Amino acid sequence: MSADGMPDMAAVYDAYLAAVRRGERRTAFAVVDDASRAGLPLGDIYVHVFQPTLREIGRLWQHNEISVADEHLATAITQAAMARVYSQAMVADAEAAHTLLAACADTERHEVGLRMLCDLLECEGWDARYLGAAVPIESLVAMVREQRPDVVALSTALPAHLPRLRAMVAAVREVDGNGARPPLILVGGRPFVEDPGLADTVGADLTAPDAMHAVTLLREQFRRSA
Amino acid sequence: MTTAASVLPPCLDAFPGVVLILSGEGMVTASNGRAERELGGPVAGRAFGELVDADSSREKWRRMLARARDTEAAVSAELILTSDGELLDPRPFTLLPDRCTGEFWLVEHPRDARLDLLRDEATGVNSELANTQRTLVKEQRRLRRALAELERSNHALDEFAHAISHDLKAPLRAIGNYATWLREDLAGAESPASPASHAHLQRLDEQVRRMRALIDGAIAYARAGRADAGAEDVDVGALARDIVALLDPPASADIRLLDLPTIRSPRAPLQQVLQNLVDNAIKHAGGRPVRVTVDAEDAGEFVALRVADDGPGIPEAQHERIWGLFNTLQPSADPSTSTGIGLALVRRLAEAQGGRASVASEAGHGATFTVLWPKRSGEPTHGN
Repeated sequence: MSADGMPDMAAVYDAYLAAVRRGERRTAFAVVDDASRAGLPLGDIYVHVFQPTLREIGRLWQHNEISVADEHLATAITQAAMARVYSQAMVADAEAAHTLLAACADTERHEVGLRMLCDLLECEGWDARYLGAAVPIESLVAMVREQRPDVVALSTALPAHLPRLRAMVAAVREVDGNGARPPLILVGGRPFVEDPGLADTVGADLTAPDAMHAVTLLREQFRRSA
Repeated sequence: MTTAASVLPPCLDAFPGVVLILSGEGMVTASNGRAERELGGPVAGRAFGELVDADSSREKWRRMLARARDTEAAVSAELILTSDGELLDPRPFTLLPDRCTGEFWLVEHPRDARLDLLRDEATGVNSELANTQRTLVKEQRRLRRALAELERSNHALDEFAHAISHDLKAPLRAIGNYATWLREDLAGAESPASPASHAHLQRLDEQVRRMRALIDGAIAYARAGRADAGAEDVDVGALARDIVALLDPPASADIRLLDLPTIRSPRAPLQQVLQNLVDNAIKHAGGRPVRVTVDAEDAGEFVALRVADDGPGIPEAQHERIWGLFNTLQPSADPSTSTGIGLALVRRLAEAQGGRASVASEAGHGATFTVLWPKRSGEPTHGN
């Protein structure tokens, strides 16, 4: 515990990472349940526990200390842990101020970042909907046409999927807004972390290195436009 | 231990994984042909590091090679190979140093493709589950909001009913008082009041009673089905006997209680329903002889409570109208007690319990009112 009665974030992170590395789902859940009960907000758990854990898992793979199977397990446990924290989180009860649609250009393995973004935005009072991984472009276009979101967030972890992402951006741009303001297009994922200039290349408006930065960026955008 | 460098035995062509011989510097000198097929081009003569994904695996590969060279021991690692910018899935390899030649064997671990499929399926299911969980949470929040809204509006209705009851009854009480005082004044006056004046005062009293009954009925209607006491075992036969005693019917009414069951129900609404129906049958007869029969029939999760009379009956055109609030079939013999709320309240109370109320009647041939009442109300029902 820290001086203000809140659990020590670093200790929560250490305990969570250790549980995930051992593949102990229930222990990992208990760690986040305790933190959540002790009043640690969803945003803090996401940004200071889940995000660094997944980064560390990636680093451990690079250093040949764990296998892809371990990485999968860590991702699966974290997906489930996120759902737990999300279901306990205090979400603004008012009518949503802004809407976001999210889609991942890759398979489900790489969707955690977008899910984090959606959950964090929900806590800020947004209506954020994650459509899924490998969403067909025509489905994405149909949803954009129907829902008229303020923001469309797209991600890829693989440079090989950049052409597909570019096609998704172009298709969203072509949706006739019928006078409504066209959605801002936000892109993210490893290729954009390594080269933020790629966002321009694929035709997007914004990019952010992680979910929390994306939330900050959107908050500024919509404060300005409000 | 005389393996010829750069030549792989042909039998390795059939090995289900990449097998390469690399020089001490990591250049490919021989292949079982698998890497060529998967990467779509020649690999001999290229540095193996070029075949490895630049960002994630090349550094890992360099460390792997250095470690095998330094320790002269086998080193295993997962590497991501790349072909024309396309990344393959990570694959496990073992790098085996050949001390005699100074070369390395790089051997991919054969994998069961079904396990990869299983893993992908598990990931997909996990993702769908995450979606479903969020949808569920959002729906729960929406329901909670709707429930809170409902509670707010119920509370407002309660306050409204209370205010109406209180504020409408106060002037009524005053009117009643003035009527009493007026009667007293007239009795003490020097010149006696005319019979017409007494009759007017009598009407005034009746109308005050009627107004009070209307207000009470309307409040009972508004509150029906809410804040019921808990369910208890109710002997419907005993309850019906109590009701008859309470109504104290005239001699012209012959009331028969047949075999009635014991059910689990809140007592007050059930009593109200039976009382209103029996009372209704007696009043509707308008003082003429009438036989009222109360019986029950099993109807699955419900009991069908029937109150039948052989009174004047109800024309079919009126069958729906009679359930409406403040709807009376005909000017009653006793306007002070006929409010047009009784049957509306019966239906509302029955529906609040998950049941129904209906009527079967033909003008001139009596009426049978049937109320489907749950045998075990306040408890989850099964099967629907």
